[in-house]
Amino acid sequence: MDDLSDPRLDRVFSEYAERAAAAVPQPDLARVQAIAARRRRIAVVATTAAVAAAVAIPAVAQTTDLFAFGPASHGPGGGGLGSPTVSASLSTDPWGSEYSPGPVLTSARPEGIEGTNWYNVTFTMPANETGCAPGRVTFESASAALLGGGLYQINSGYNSSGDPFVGYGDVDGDGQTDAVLVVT
Amino acid sequence: MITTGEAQAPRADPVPGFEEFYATHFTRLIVQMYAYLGDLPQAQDVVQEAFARALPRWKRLATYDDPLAWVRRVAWNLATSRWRALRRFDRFAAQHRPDHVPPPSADIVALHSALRALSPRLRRAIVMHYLAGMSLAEIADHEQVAVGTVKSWLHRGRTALAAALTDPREEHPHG
Repeated sequence: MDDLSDPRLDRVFSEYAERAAAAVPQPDLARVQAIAARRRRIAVVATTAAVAAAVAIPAVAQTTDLFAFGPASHGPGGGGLGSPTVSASLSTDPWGSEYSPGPVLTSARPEGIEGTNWYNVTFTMPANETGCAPGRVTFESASAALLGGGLYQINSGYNSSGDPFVGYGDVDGDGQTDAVLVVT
Repeated sequence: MITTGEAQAPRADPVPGFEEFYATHFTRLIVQMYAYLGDLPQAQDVVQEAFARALPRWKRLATYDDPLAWVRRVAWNLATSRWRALRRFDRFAAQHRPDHVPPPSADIVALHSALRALSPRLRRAIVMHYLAGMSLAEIADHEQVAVGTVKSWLHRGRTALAAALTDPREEHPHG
């Protein structure tokens, strides 16, 4: 960095920072809170819609065993919040194609889920604004909740957009999409 | 890459430490985005948005060694996207947007003009280095390039800025 030092530019930017800072309005924490609250409301609405979609899927696709999870290895367990320290290996679509968000509902009947290994959950994930591009992503920890009707919510810490991402995922590592996942 | 944990919904209420963090870094981040975007309201929006995204994740971010890096990365990415849009509509907006704020000083305008002449990558590197105080390694990590590349960007950017900011009276004091 030393050979990049430039006293004149240092002075120019120092003066700029001082003058520009004087023009910056006072911090407005209330506005930040309002934005975050609005995002939370949007997330709730989107999750509700996803739940409704998940409930509708079995009726349409005769999925009485579409989401027939095995009894022993359900990550969320019991239908409530659970598995607070899941470490899942998440895989996304390969690079190249433009990402198409949102669930693609299908009447195809995937294999029943015999067991959920929350260390090997894969699902499609978009890039996020922190610079993480779509591709294979490994979560060191995440939390999951069974929302009902075969719908899982993954609190990944990856999706920082504020809008939950909904898609199909493979929760038993057999390479088949077998559950609806809401990634927040 | 990701370390997270909370299962509960995001909270709108400030959690301990966030308010101080926000107050400490708000102005400085805006100044950086202002230099990059050349538009103060846009810079303010970008930074507010970044902090708004940080707030519901603050419990996790607060455990990071440098939570500011997360906010700064989000702000920069938003600014980059915003700048692309601004560039497309800049001419239109300039013709139709009423100016309700006092004009910036001549020095600020001069620096904005000089920065605007740089490519986005050079401009980001310059702003990160001179205004954010980021090291070569930090910039390289942020931009996902080699340190030598950042060095080259800074060298080229500095040369261009020096030429653009040269006062003709300094070159020809007697002319």
